[in-house]
Amino acid sequence: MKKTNDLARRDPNHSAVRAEQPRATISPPVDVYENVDELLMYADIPGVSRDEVALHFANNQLTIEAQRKPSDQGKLLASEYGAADFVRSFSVPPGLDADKVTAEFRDGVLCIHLPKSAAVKPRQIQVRGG
Amino acid sequence: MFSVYNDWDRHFADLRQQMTNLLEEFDGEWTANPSVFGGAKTWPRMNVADTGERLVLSAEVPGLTNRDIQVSLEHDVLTLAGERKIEGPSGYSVHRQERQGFKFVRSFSLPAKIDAEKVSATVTNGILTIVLPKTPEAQPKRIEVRAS
Repeated sequence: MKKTNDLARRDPNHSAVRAEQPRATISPPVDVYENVDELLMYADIPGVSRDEVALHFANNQLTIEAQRKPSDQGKLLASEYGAADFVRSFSVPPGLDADKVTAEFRDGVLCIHLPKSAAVKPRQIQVRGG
Repeated sequence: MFSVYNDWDRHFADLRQQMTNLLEEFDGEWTANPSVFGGAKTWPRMNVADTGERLVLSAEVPGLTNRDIQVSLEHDVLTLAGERKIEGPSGYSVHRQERQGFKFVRSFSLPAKIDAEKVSATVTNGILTIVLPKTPEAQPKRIEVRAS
């Protein structure tokens, strides 16, 4: 419960207010695409570096996690975003090749390739003449 | 039994506080997660900071590169413009598309005189950072207090 008086709360630079502000937890927007070979995902995670993004894949559960540090550039005149924890989990269908999952992070967008294992890929069965 | 009503003021104040908290939570949700209501009110979200010698604007622009953003400064008004297009990869079917494309223009009247020649803008990890050095006149000055 917030108990700071209003005057202090309106000033985002007030030390009491800064300490009180909770870290936002953001579930980043994600696009999911599929073709015969793989599932492809894109997630918007602006303001973190590549090392700060963690990707876990176990028991058909894919979790994206990232921590964004607060900015330390001077006195804030306006603030629409700040330090945040990005978290998003997906249940993915069985039949993906966990060892071959790859991810790249470019311009604040995480791109994840989840290749399907050979067993679930569609196969062309040749029809032979008798 | 009627003691509750004797404390009317106190109860009303509590109710008011609860209402305020609710509204604040709602506002917080809105700004923290634009996807909740199907779109951001403003895009991109920005921070403006003052270090004394310069103003620093930063904006969340995931997926954009320096080619997608135009920054212009006219007198004391800084304008950002650009477009984010979301195009799915070709040959894929779509399961979910939450990332949105935007066409945006945001302008700011700056609170200090800026040295327009020295303004720089960079995009790193989906954050646009514009550094606006103030003119010497606009920088804070330390005035020495002398003993008489």
